[in-house]
Amino acid sequence: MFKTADSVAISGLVKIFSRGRKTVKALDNVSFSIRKGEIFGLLGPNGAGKTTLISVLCGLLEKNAGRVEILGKNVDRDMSGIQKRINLVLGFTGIGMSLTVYEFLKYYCMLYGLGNKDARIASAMKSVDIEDKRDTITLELSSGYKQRLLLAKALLNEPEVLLLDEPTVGLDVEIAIKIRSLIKELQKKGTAILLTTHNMYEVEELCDRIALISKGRIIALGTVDEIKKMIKVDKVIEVDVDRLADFAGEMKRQKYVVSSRIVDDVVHVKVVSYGNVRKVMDFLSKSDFLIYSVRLVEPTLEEAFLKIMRKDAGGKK
Amino acid sequence: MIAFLNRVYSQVYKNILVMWRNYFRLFDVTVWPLILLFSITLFVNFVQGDASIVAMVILGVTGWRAVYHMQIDMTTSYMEEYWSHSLNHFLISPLRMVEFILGNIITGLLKFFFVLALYLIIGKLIFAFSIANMWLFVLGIFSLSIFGIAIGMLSMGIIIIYHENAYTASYIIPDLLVLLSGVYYPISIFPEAVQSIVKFIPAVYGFDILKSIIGLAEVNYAMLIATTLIWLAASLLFFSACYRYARKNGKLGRMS
Repeated sequence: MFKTADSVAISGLVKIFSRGRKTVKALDNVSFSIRKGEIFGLLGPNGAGKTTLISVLCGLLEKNAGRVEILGKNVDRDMSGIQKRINLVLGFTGIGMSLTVYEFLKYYCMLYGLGNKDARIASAMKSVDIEDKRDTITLELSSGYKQRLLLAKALLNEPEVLLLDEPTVGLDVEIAIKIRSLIKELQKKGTAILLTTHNMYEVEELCDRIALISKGRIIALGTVDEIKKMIKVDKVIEVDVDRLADFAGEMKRQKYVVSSRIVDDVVHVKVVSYGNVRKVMDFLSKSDFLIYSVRLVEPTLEEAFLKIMRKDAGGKK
Repeated sequence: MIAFLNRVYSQVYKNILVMWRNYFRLFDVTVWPLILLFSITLFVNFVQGDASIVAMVILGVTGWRAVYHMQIDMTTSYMEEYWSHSLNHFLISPLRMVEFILGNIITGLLKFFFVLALYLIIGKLIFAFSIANMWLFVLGIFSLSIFGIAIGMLSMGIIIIYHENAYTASYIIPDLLVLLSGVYYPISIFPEAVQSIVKFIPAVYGFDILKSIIGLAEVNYAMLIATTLIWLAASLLFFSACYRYARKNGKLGRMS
C-alpha cells in the first residue's frame, strides 16, 4: 500500500493521550500519503489533531499504533535519518535568542551537521529576503521577520519534506504573498509539503489535495474541487439580463427552480442539480431576454468545510 | 564524523555566544564564583583558621564549581531553547542527545577552566595557595566532574518533562548534594543515619581526594569507582526513561 513516489505515507495512525483515568484519542486511524512535489493541506478546527499529527511526523511524539514512513524510512526505526531530510516551520513561535540572524542560521547548520555553511546561509537569507537583517539580534526582529527567519532555517538542509504549521499566521499581506510564492517554488523543486492553515484562500491557492480532520479522524480527503463536490448544496446561477424583474418572475414559475430573486442587480436562480442548471440555460437560450452574463456560483471551500464539519458533528451525535 | 563534531560543537557555539551577549550570564564565571570563594575564605581568615583550612576551603570551592558547571550548562542550554521558543525546532533537528550532552560537557569544562584559573591566581596572590599534588587534584576534579554530569542528566530528565517549573531544581539538587558530600568538612559530622546515606554519594570521595592533597582525608577508591558507576548508569537510565515518557505523553517540545 506504500508507494515509492510517496514522500510521506501514513496508515492507521493512532495516538492516545492518558490524563489520569481519562484517555483521549487525539488521532484515530489516520491514513493518507503525500507525493513528491505535492502540497497537501490539513484542515480542521482547533484541537482536531493537526498539531499532534505534525508532532508524530517530526519525532516529537510517539504514536500508539499505525505505520508512518517518511522518504521510505520508518519513523520508529530511523527518526534521526528522517530528521536530516525534513524541516518544520511553526506559526506563532516568535523565536528570539541573543544570536544574530547569521549566527542563528549558522547554529542550525551545525545542528544539521551541514557543510558549506556560508553559501547555504546566503541562499536561505536571499530566498526569504532577510539579507539586510544579517547582523540583527533575533530577539529584536519583528514577528514577520522572525517568521521569515524560521523559513530560512527550514531551507538550510534543503528538505525533501517540509511541515508548515500555519506559516503565514499573523503576517502582513505582502509577506504572506512572498511566503506563498516561496512555497510554490519549493513545490516545483520536488519538496513534499504538509500545510496546516485556517486560511481557506491559502488552501485554494496552494494545495493539490486536502484532508479535513475532526476529532482526530480524517473525514474528507481529495482535491479542493472534489471536497466542494462532496457537499450537497443548491446550485446558484447568477444571470444578468435586460429585464431583471420579468426574468426573475418567469424563473419562479418554473417547477425545477427552488427560488429566484434579484440580488445586487443580477438574478440569483437557485436549483437543486446540474440537470436543472441545464434547464435554466435552455430556457435562456429560447427566451427573448437580452443576456449580458451567466455564471454558476460554486460553493466556497469555506462553505464546504463548515458543511462537512457540521455533518460530521451531527453524525457523531 | 564531521557532521557529528559539527553537532557537538553547535552547543558550545550557542552557549558561549549567549553568555558573551549577556553580562549577567558572564557573572556565572566571574562574580558568583568569586563571591563563593571570598565569602568562605575571608571567614576562615577572620576566625584565624590555619593555612591548611584555607587550602581545604579553596579546594572545596573549586570542586563545587566543577560539579556546578558540569550540570548547570546542560539544563541551561536546554532551557535557552525553551525560553527562546526554539525548542521544537531544536528537538526536531538531527542532534542526538549524546551530542547535546557532549557539547554541553565541553561548554561546562571551558567555563570551569576559566573559573579554575581565577581561583588559582587569586588563591596564590591573596592566600599563598598552591596545589601540592597536581595528579590528585586532577583526579579529584575529574571525579567531581563526572558526578556533575550524572546530576546534569538527572536534572535534565526532570526538566524535559516539567520545563521551567523544574528549572530551580537544577540549582537546588547539586547544591544540596554537595553540602551533604562534606565539601569543607568530613561527613562524620552528620548524624549516623545521614552518614549511612551520604556514603553512597560519589562526591564524598571526590572531595576526600581534594582534602587528601593537604592530608586531611583518606580516600576510599573502591567506593569512589562503585558509586560513580552506579550514579552514572542510574542517571543515564533516568534521563532515557524521562525522555521516552515525555515523547510518549506529549511533554517533549512546546508545539502550541
